[in-house]
Amino acid sequence: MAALIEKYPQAQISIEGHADTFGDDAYNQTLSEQRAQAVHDFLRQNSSLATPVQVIGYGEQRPIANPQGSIEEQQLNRRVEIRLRTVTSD
Amino acid sequence: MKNQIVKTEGVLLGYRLTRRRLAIAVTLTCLLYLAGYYLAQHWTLSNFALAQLKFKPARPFRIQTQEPQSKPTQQIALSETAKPASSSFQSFTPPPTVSTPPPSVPSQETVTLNENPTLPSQLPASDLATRTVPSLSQNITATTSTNDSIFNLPSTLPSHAAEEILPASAEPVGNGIGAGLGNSSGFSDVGQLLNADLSDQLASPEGVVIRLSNEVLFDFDSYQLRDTAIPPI
Repeated sequence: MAALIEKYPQAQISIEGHADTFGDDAYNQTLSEQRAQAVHDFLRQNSSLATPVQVIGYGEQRPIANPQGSIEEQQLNRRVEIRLRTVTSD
Repeated sequence: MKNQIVKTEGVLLGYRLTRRRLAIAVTLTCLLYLAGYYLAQHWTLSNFALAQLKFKPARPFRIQTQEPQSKPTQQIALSETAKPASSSFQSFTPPPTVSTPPPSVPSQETVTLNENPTLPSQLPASDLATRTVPSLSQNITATTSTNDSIFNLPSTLPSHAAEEILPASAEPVGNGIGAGLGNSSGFSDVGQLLNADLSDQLASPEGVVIRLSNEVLFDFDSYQLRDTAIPPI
């Protein structure tokens, strides 16, 4: 991951934390923010991350698997997404 | 002396008896005894006779033994009915009789064969259970499915839906380009992303999305990174 960031130093980075629907909404929201922040801190310490990074916790607001599913079915909802995007200066 | 003895006996009995009174008492006793004996021998009731007190001998009771019979039923019935009435054995159960005649097959009945057999329009339920449900037309499913959502699939699918392969949850989901470059679990493979040229994808509005699993990065209900989180990050 750190190598990928170093490969594209011009890319803007956003780290998004997500959670499944099990548990309290506020708790999942806080946990997703803390997890996204933990990934950010690790990348900041172990890579040449110079550009500002956007850290967002979405909680259980953006599921990509069935939010009514079981724990196994909601495995994709428990995730951290690191989004790389280059900004075009038009 | 005799009078003294009698007086002594009378005193002992509580009476002062004399010889005369004693003789009268003995005489009356003998008369009462004779009268009782005479009545016992000759006095009879009008509706009673001693002959009625004769005891009847014990009634013989026999139990009919259940023995296996090898004879036909009809012969048994005939033998029971042919038993003489003066027999000392009397069965408490009525003799078995054959009430229904044996079935007879008409010899001249004709049987016609149906050369073009057809199935009935309504089959029994046990037969229907082994048959497949006919597929519904697409018009019917369009009216029944009112809530179209990715997570609320209609209960009845169109007929051609059975041939479609629904996407598994393990497939990469999402709009990110990097999400497609992942493993079979739906998460991204960082090594695969490193080898790929992502310049064009980075310029797209969605960018490159690297999807990592929380099970790999964190412990349960924790935001501290695990040791297994270091290689992918």
